Amino acid sequence: MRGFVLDASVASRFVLREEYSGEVEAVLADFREGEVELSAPSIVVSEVGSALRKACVRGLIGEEEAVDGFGAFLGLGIKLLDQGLDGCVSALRTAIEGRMSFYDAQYLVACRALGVPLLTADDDLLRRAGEAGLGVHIRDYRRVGRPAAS
Amino acid sequence: MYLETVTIKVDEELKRRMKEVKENWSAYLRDAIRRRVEREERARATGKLLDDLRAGRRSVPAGFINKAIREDRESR
Repeated sequence: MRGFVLDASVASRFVLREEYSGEVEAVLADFREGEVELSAPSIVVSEVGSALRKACVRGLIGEEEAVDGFGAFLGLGIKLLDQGLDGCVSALRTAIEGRMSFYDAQYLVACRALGVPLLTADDDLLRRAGEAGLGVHIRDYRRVGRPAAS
Repeated sequence: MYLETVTIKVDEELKRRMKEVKENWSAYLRDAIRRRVEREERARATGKLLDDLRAGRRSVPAGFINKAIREDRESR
């Protein structure tokens, strides 16, 4: 089974329809069938919640729509990673040395810890992950991310 | 954690054969039940999210999500 660390830029697309919705649907369908394993640092929950709040505050979606979608997201059972003290220290080092936010670094540290690539829709984070050989853009999921047909 | 009791019935022969297998059957069944429940919850959640996406619910303009997340990550 293939595995990915899921960036909030993709996780939020599970709930908010935006660019790459076809690819996002493919990820969800593979996840439902157990063909792909999805993990994320636990901050992904806060980041998806925050994106939904912003969409709500800006009048793009209603409150009940936000709550309803968030409930479904939480019900997915994505494996949430508690990075522990060592992981947090490693994220801080990665953030300082790589000149990135601590939050971005947490995703990269999770990739290294699990030995799986990051699935993201964020070009900046993809570049940083790519430098470490750890990134896949959601637009490429159907080409490189899907399990080989048997 | 308080554990509830769930009873299952098996035939006599199976019960005898179970005794010959070195297994903590309670833990084994608890884990099997948990995995089955999680699979059902996942199917329900993915089904709902897929239906919503295909119906165009909660649509936001292109670029909204990345900008929202980037704002948070750079400002916290």
